[in-house]
Amino acid sequence: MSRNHQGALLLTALAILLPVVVIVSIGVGAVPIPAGDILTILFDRLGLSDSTISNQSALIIESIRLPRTLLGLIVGGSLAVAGASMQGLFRNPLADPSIVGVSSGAALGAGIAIVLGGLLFAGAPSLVQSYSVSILAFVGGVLSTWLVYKVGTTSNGTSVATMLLAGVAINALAGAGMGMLNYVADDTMLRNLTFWQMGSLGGATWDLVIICATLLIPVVLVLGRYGLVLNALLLGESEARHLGIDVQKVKLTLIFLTALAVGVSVSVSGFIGFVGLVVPHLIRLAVGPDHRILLPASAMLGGILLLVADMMSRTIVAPAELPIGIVTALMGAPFFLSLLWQQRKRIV
Amino acid sequence: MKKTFKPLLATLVAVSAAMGANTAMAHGSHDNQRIVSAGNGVTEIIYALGAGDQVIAVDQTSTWPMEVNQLPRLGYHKQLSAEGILALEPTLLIGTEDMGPTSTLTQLKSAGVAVEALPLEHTADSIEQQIKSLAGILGKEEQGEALWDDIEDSLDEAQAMAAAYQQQHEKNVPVLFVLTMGGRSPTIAGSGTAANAIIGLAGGYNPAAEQFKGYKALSNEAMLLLAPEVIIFPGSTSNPDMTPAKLLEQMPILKQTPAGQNGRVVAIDGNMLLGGLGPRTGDVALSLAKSFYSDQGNPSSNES
Repeated sequence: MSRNHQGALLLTALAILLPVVVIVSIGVGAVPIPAGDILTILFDRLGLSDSTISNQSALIIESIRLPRTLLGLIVGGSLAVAGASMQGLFRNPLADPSIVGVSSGAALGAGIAIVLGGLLFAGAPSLVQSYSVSILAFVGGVLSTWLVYKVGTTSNGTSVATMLLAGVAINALAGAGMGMLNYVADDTMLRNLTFWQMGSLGGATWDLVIICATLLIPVVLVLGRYGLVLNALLLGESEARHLGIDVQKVKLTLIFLTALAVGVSVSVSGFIGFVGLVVPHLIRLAVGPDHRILLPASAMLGGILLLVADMMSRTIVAPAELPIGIVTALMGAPFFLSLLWQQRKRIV
Repeated sequence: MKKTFKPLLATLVAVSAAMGANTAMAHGSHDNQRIVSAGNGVTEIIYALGAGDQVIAVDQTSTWPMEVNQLPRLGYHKQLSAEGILALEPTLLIGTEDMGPTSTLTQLKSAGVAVEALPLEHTADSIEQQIKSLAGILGKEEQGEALWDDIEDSLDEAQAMAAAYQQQHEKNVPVLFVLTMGGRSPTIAGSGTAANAIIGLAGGYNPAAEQFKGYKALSNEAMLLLAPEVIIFPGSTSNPDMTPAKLLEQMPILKQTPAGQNGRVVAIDGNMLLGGLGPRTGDVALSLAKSFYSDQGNPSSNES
């Protein structure tokens, strides 16, 4: 079977799996709700039937599981597409969004909000105060990416190698900043910092879903159109230039779309590692490096993976919740290792 | 754990079923609540008020009394899961203003669960207020009065000992709370900590409180400068392996302090300090005061 056929098959399979996982995710939780009730509630909200289901079940579906599922879908998809774009742009299988400093910058921003938020946002309106962590995480992520990009760019264009090094330096700097914050933080702040870094979709509300959807869905769609360009870049920068691609413009666009995608994702759900790095690899191992398949397939698999991880996160230790970052790493890392083990001959 | 929990759940379900519609009304009836408690101090007070049989789940910090270890755990009280809690079908969530996230609390309220967030400060007033509010919520006003009177008596006694000592010696006993962190330099409680509060309530004086907030690791020299006459550390039931001798062995610098030289190193139950002060605070403060001030007739004699 040719690579193209495999790709089409994979996309179809993912497109079928995705709605199934979404429905299962709405159906699974600490409170048992029969499948029939769930369908009735959903149809009822669409104005298709009259519901006789208890108020509580409706509330759980409507204001807890549904926004959470949608948020997981959007965040997972964005992180995976951002990872695939970075790996393509840097032509480096180890690249993930953290390589341009966006994750560590976001973490530092969130840390500042958690530890110093009381001072910084003292006079701000309560809406700003309640979202201060998200706002500063986003600002931190975009600022650090901008810094990395500036360091790597000269009049001759952007050097990917310099950006990688600048990213390492920014990560170290942000790490030092986090260390300082840890040192001055009190017990409660320390716990908040730790939990934030482990990530969670638990704060999902419809407001957040709407904000994320309006910001991230366009980003994912635009990134998805860069398949051919990234394929050309795989040949090398000068080769891509000869193919008529404005490489400098592509770099700028991809870096900032990625920073936007990851910045927003991290600011609403905390630090969810691993998805951006591994999902594109899984797809590549299955159907090869064609970005026309890789980008949309990563988006779908990223959403699926994060939803599955979230289902585990909220059921394993119910009534408590296991931070989702732990689940994604625990679930994905061994799987990824075993894939590498099986395929290492083919990769080398 | 499941097995021991089931009969309890069964009884509670039976009771609430028998009570009928009233169960849903959080404030309608006092004796048939299904309480979820998020905060060690709050949990201890509920049990001390005699309403422990209505508690169906507790957060991670609640470890006292022993019965709560049989109950389902909610995890950390700032990371509560709305659906996880709703699955337990509670009528009332009680915690401190520290609990969250806000989105969970809002969702619980809209699902008809009464949410009570009590103010949390490390002061005796805050304990009194918590006990009285909880007594009001649970309809245990009499028990609340009695409980607070006991605590107040112990605290007064501790303060009286301190006052007598101060009159005689014109100073308070400097006390440090020391956390051991895997053999690194000692971590000391500064101001704004529950440990600092308990030192104050026991009539001691925490020289570290003037220098910093929260818990900080101190250098050996700074430790000597603070010159504590008594050192307290988390041990006893929360950490039975840690004895005063072992603490001194792990941190030799403590031997150079007046407390170390005179062997005045006291273990207290660390769990009691984790989630704020609670009903045991009175007893702990009094026993600490005794260790600070008894046998202290003549300070130069260096009691055994």
